[in-house]
Amino acid sequence: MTKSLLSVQDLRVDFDTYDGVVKALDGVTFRILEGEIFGLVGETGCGKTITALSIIRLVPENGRITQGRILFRAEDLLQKTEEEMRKLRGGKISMIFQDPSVSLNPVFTVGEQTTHIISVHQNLERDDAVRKTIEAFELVALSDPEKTMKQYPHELSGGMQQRVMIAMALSSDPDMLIADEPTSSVDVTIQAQLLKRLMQIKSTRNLAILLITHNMGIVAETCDKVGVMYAGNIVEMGPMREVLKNPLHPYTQGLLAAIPKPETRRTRLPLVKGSIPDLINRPQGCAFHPRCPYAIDVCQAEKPVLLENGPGRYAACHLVNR
Amino acid sequence: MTLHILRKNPLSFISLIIILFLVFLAVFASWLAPYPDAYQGTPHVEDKYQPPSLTHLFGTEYLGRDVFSLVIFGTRLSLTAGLMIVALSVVIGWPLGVIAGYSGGKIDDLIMRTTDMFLAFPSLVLALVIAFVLGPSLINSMIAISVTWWPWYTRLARADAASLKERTFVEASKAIGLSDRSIMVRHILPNTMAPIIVQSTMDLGTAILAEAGLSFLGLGAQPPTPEWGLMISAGRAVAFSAWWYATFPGVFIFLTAMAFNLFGDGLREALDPRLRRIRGE
Repeated sequence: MTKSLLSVQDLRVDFDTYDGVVKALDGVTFRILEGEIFGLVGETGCGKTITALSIIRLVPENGRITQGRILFRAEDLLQKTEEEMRKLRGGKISMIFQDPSVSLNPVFTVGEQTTHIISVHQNLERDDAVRKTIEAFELVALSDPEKTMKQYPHELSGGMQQRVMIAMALSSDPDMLIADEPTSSVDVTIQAQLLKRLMQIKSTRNLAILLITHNMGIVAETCDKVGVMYAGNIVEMGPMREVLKNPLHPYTQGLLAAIPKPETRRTRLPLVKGSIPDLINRPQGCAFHPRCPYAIDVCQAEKPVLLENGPGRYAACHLVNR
Repeated sequence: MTLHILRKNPLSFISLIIILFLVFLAVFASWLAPYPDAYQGTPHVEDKYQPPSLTHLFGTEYLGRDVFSLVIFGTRLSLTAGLMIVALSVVIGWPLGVIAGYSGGKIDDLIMRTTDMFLAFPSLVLALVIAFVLGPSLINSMIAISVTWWPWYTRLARADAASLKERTFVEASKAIGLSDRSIMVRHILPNTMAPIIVQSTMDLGTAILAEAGLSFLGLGAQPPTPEWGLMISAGRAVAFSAWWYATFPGVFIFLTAMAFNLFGDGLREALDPRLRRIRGE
């Protein structure tokens, strides 16, 4: 049996704004095993990125983690000192962002930046760090590592920039990579190449990936497990195939139904009605009930908890868990 | 590429030539001055206040020294003084601005309120007081001006640093485990360099002017140093009988200050792609 690598338990994050306290995460719970790809999907603003930033403790300044535990192996990341966290980031846990063109410093060559990161984390002499940089660039299939090293970010294409970011993130051989929509700013062919490469690296290195996306196609191609987020909660979680084939939660069903398919060209797409709720004044009970076609009385009164429903399958819905 | 754009702007190009010429004068003053011993040689009082002629292009002053040679030596003093003032101000102001902008909160408040204190005084008055307290000399007047000057660089760098810290590459650097100090030195500081360079180039002229001003008021260089401001001050008394004594150093101050300002403007345009686009280049 594979061991649990990351376990997030009842994570709550609040943001102070002028309009009031935004409860961005309202008890997020999930677990990622070693070497597994866990997809986190959901609409914009549902808390996917905040979940990722909380794991490496980089929640924006006006936000705070009010409750919960984040266990990485056996250690609670929320108890660590800032110094310990800094060593961990880019060391055992790395993160890459959505838009690589703004994730690189425009005034240094990508080689200098990568070499610097490597020498910081691995305490290496310059020559060794340069050698490691070339290896890292080769790993992500950059065709001419030595030439690429001497280039500035603006001289590279979006796909190459993202490769550089991935190379940086993987340079210290992390156990886990958090990828926040890593391919949404590159076109689909590059997207496919990048994902394929990531999958290869993942299997050779036993790397676990937390993949944040809103693209169900990417989930279907890459993920082992998937968690569906809605308004700061995980509403459904389970093995990828089963969740996509047989979604339990009404929100997941709505999300999957809204994907256009060739055979339904002339019909209207069944959209999820309404929009995401106000996170300052959350709806009572289930956050999804105002939009849910099956809502019953108990949905307005009581917040459903994430319960196991079949092997490895979890859903937070009164109807499912009745 | 920057040079290419500079050449397209005739004013900047001319100013660059003037600056290069002044630097040339300053570096080779000892060879270029027709009377190389004018600065520190024995005075020829019998030649005092000779009007401009072929032997003395800019005439002579009260000690009979050749004004043309003195002005050339003065170039060296003024350029060095300007450079030192700006360099000292940048060295103090730039890192403080980066720290304030990046750190935010109390540190930001502390640093920025300190700059406000300095900027609340008229800078010349403050410089006068400091120069007076330190005692009149060329070096002290340079320090005095720098003390009133650094807050401008702090403000400039802070504004940029505060916006840079919100940029994704800073967040990405944090996510990959860089320390705050590393981020400031490696990411923020280099990215605030362009405006600092432009501002300091433009400030060179003003710094030279300020230095000449303090010397004129007797708080900078002391006689018989051939400092431009000091020469104007000494020439003022005889402005009508020996007009050349105050006029030629004045012309050089004007030329220098103007050249640096124009060059700074051109540099800003060359380095700022937005301005370039407006001009359709």
